[in-house]
Amino acid sequence: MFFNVSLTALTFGVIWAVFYLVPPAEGLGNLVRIAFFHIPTAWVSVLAFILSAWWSIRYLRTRKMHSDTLSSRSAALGFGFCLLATISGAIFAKLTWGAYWNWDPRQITIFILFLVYGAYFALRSAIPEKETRARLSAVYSLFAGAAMPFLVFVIPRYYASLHPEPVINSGGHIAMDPIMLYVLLAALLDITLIFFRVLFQRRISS
Amino acid sequence: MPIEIIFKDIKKTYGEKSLYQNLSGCIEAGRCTCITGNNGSGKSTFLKIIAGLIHPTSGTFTYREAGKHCSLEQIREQTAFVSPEIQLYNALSAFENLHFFSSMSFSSPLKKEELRNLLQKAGLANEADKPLGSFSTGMKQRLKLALLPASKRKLWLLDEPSSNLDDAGRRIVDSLIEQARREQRTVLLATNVPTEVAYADTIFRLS
Amino acid sequence: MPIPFFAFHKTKAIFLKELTCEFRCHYGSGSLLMFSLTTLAAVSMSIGSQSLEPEFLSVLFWIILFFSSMAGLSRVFLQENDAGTLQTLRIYAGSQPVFFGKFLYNLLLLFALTTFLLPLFVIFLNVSLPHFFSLCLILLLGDVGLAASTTLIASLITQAQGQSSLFTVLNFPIILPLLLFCIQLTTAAFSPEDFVIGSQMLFLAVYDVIILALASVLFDYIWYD
Repeated sequence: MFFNVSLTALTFGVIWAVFYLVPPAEGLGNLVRIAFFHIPTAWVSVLAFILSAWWSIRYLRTRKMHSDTLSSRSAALGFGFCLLATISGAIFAKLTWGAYWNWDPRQITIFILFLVYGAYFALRSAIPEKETRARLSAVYSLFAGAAMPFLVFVIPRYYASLHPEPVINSGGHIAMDPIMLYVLLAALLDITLIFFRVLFQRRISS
Repeated sequence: MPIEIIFKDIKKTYGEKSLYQNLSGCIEAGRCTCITGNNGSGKSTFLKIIAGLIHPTSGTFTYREAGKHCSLEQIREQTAFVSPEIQLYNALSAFENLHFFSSMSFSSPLKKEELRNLLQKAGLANEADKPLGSFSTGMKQRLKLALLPASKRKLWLLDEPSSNLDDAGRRIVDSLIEQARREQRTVLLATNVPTEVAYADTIFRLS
Repeated sequence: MPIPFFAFHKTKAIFLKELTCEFRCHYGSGSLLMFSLTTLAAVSMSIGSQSLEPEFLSVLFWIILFFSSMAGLSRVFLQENDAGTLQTLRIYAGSQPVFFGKFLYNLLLLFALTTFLLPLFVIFLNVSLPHFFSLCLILLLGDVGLAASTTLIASLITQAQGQSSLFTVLNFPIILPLLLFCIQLTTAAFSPEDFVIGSQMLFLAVYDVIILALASVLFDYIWYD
C-alpha cells in the first residue's frame, strides 16, 4: 500500500519535473520532453526482454511453472512498453525530422523486436499443454535472444542513423544539463518501478 | 551388467486428469517385469517415462547398473522400445532399416551377415530387401522386434509386443524374452494379454 | 550434452538416411526448386529487358531463397512426425547426431537450391558477376545460417499446431539480421566497384557460429521432454 502511494507520488513528481523543471534543450527545444518518456520506456522494454530470457533459463533448469508465468508476463509487459517507446519515438521523429518512420537502424531493431514478441506469442497460442508450451517458448525466446546483441550493437554501425547518440554507446549525453540528467534518472527509476509493480501484481492469486 | 530401476512416488497428471499417484516399486535387474491394467490406466505412459521420453509430474527414478548410479543420458542410450506408436521408415527396406538403427548403437554397425541372420530369425528373410511400405502390420511388428537384438541394448521396453502377430510371430516374442533372460537384460512389458503377462517374473497392476 | 565428434558415424548415418529417403520419394526437393523457378520466371517476365540495379537484384535473390526455404526446409522433421518415425529416432538415435545430421541435410539442400538458382538468375535477369568468389562465400555463409535456424525451428513446431505458418513466423526474426547483412554484401558483390572482404563478412560468420552453437545447445530441450 505504501509502495503504491509513493510510486504514484513519484510519477506525478516526475511528470511535473519534466514539464516545469527541465529547461528547453539546445536545438531540440521543448520537444526534448518526449525523450523523458521515450528513453525510460525503451530501456524497460529491453530490461523486460532480458528478464524474460533469464526466467526462461530458470524454467528450463528447474521446470517450475512460476518461472514460466513470470517469463511470459515479462514478455507481455515488454511488448507494451516497446509499443509505447516506438510510438513516442515516431512522434518525436515526425516533429523533428518530418517523417514518422524511415528505417533508421534503431527502428529496424525495434521492428525486429516486435517480430520476436509476435512470434513468441504466436508460438504460445499454438500449444495447448502447459509444460510443453513453457518449455518450447523458453527455448524460442532464448534462441531469438541470440539476435539481440547483433541488432543493438552491430547493425547501427553499418546503416547511417538519424537517432541521437544513444546513452550506451558514447558519452554524448554527459554534457547534458545536470537538471535534465537528474530528471531523466528519476524518470528511468519511475518507469522501472511501474514495470515491476505490474509484473508482480498478481503473484499471490495466480 | 543388467540395469535396475527404482521408482518412488511417481505421479503423472495431464491437466485435470491424474494417471497415477505415489507409484513406487522396483524393476529388478535382468528380470522380466509386467505392467498391466485397464485401457487408459497409463501403461504406455509409464513406459515412456522410464525411457526418458516424458517427465513425470513428480517423483524420482533411480537407475542402477551393478550398484553404480546411471544418468538419464546413459539410460537413453541403453533403452530399446517396441510399441504400436513406433514406426520405421517406409522408404527403406527391412535390411536398411535394421542397418540404420543398429548403427545408432555402436561405433560400427553389425555386419551384414549378422543382420541377415536376425531377419531370418524374425521370419523376414524373403522380404528383406523390399521397401517397408509394402509390408503388412504383422511384418512391420516383426521388424520392430528384430530391432531388439540388433541394437544390443540392456533395457527392453515392450508395449504390447504380440499385437498384430500370428502364432509364429508370438513364438518369436517368446524366444526374444527367453534370450533376454539368458543375456541378463531387464525387460519391462506393458500388456493386458494373459499369455504375455505369463512371461513376467513380477507384475504391477495399475488401476 | 555430448560433442558430435564422438558420434560422427551416427550423424553421417542420419544424413545418408535423409538423402536416401529423399532420392526415393522426392518429398521436398522438387517443390523447393519449382517454387524458386516460378518466382524467378514471373519476375523476369514482368521486367522484360530492363536491367535492375544491384540493390534490387540482391534483394530479389535473397527473397526467393528465403521463401523457398520456408516452403521446403521444414520437411526434415514434419514429415517424420507425420510418419510416426520421430519417436523411433528419439529412442534409438540420441539428440545431437539427429540435429547435425538433419542440419547437414538441409544445408546440402540449400546448396543445391543456390546452385540451381544462381545460373538461372544470371540468365533470366542478365546479371553480371564481377566478384564471383566473394559472392560464393556470401552465399555459403547465408546458407549455413538459414539451415541452422530452419532445422531448429522445424523441430520446435512438430510439437505445436498450425505448423506451416508458424514456421515462417518463427524463423523470420532470427533470419532477418542475417538477411540484412547478406543483402548488403550481395549488393556489393553485384556492383562493379572493388569488393573488400571486410568486417561485415566477419560479423556474418560470427552470427552463423552463434546461431549454430545456440541451436545445438537448445535442441536437447526441444527433443526430449
